[in-house]
Amino acid sequence: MKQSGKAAQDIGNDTGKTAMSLRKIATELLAKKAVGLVIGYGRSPLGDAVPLLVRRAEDAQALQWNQHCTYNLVRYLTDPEVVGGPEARGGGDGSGGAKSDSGKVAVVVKGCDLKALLVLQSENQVQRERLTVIGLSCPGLTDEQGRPLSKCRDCPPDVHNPREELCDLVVGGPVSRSGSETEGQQARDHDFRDVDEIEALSPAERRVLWDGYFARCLRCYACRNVCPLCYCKECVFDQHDPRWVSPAASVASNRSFHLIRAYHLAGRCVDCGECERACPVGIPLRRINRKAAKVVEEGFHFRAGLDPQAKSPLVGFADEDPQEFIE
Amino acid sequence: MKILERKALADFFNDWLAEGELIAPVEIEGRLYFRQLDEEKRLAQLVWPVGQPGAAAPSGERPKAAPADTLTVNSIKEFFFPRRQELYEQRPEGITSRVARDERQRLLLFARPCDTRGLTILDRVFLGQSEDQSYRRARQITTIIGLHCLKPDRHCFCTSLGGGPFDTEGMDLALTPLDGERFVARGISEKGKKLLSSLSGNQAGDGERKRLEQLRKAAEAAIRRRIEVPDQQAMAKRFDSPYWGEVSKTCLSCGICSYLCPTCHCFDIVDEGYLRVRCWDTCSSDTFTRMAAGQNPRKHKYTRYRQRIYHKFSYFKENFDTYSCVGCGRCTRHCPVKIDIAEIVNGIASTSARDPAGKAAGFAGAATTRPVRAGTKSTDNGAKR
Repeated sequence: MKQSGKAAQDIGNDTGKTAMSLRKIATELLAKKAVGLVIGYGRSPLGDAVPLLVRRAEDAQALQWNQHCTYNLVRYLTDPEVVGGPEARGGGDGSGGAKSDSGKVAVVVKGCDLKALLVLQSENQVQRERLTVIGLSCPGLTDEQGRPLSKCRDCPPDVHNPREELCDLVVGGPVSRSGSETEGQQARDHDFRDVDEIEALSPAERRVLWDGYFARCLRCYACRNVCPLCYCKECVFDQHDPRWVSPAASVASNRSFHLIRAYHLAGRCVDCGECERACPVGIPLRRINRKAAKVVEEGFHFRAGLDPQAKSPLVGFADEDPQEFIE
Repeated sequence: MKILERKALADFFNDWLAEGELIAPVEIEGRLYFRQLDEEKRLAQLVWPVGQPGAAAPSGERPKAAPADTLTVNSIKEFFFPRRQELYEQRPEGITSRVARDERQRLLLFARPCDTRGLTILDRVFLGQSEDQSYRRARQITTIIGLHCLKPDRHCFCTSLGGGPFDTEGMDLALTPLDGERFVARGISEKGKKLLSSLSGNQAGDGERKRLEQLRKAAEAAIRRRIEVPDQQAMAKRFDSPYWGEVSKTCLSCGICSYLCPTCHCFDIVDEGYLRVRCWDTCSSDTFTRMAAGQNPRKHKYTRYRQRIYHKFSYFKENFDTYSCVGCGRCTRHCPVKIDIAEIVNGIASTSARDPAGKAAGFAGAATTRPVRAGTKSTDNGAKR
């Protein structure tokens, strides 16, 4: 299936078997009308991996799986223009758009993506019974230069292979990455070395570091828009009256933007890394959200994206929550 | 045409820094950005072009780590049309202008032909019927030393849009790196010619001219992508095509394409306390056309994506007789879902004008659900164009 040289080879040692299974499954699902849409990965004419929406069985052959398939496709499950819903365009026009689907959607997820889906489930943003979740075992992905993605370097082994009990189908694998069992174990015991590094700096040093990053921010909102958990119908940064944070990019307004976003994701972010990947100016956004995740983990012993029933501690209340800070 | 040694150029830049400002490509974590050089670090930050010719990446090949000859992430537009610009301060006592007046002369180094050409397109907007004073000022105080492009990448398509890797439009002085140490320099504008005559270097000989021609051919040949814009009538006929729904379906509606684009120029005016500022805005955002009462003529992302394409390839052409795209490839290169402008524009013509069945995906029936009065232009394409 190689179209453009070495741009995006099928992953590792399974020589495209996973991709072939995926195509077969998608073809069947669509042909039987079990689903009206399969959200998977495809390849652009330039050879890049791209998100691909497949609505006809005969188009399922375009599905791909390779080491550049970084996209967290769960993002599209809350997009009414993709999956239909009350907001979707085309309703009632009888023209064969989203309406003609059986209303069910199949989505391809890696282990890391699946965690975002679990949060959406816990927040009642998706109807799980409408979904066919196709899990993919993932040997780790690379960036355009062929370097492992930072989120993949930190990925614990129980995430390489999506949890079968939470998927409808699992394709490929199970994979084990060399040396990653021990590394993964370390990561689970102490997940936040990158955050610790920053905490070790003095407040003044941290300020210089982050303001340096924030000065670059263009306020393009790619980090927010690519985030599977930023599904608010009206984002606080888009409100005009009152306008809480100026949309004009300056260190001060950018700082507000990133910190407010981090608060909104605290206890919810599953570290899928899409924000950091999407950022055109290389702001290490994972670290911001991982700092919040660390606080939540230490304060509430909670990790997001493990249980489709569990609500983030910041949107709920439990008697056993630590309360030392209340005087 | 002169041959300038790197050292001579460095001396000149250093002299300039004594009185003026220098804007140049700077490496930040493996990528190049145009930045104003820091007072302290000065030329140490500057990334000189390596200029190894003929090594253009074939389509599909990933750029190598060394960024020296790669295109900067940002275009040069922010030095003329800033991301955030204070206009005035409005207090009960009165209004004070905040538009900077006493800026020092600036030298903008190593701008690629696509970027400088982009600036000439911005000129049509900001120096057209109503002149933008701060833009005019920024243009006046800036001298642009352009750099010919020896390593276009797989996203580039400048040659289909009237530009080219050895284009000189919008430059004051054009440099071509012969190797890491020597540059062929040509004065383009009066300002540039004057500047060049003040720099010491030998006149270029036949050998160098020949070499230059070889380099130009190699660079042009390295650009494999083509973009073919349908004629205006064909564009107009496809405004209502379900095609726009198909091609924009995975779009995230972020502003990367607009903000990195050397020609996108839409802005918003906002208040920050007593300050009134102008900042970049993007048609991909849902808030761009949202009215105070909540109505939004471009509620759906396909209408927003379509606006971007029609603005660049139809309305701008109509208004200024040129496309507002220079083929730098940034929008595709940095798109988080790799939406490919060249591919999309190339696909317009093969879309039948009103094809209710459409293709596989997409909002089939876009044509039927959008109210358009016969014989008039849609209300959609007028706003902020």
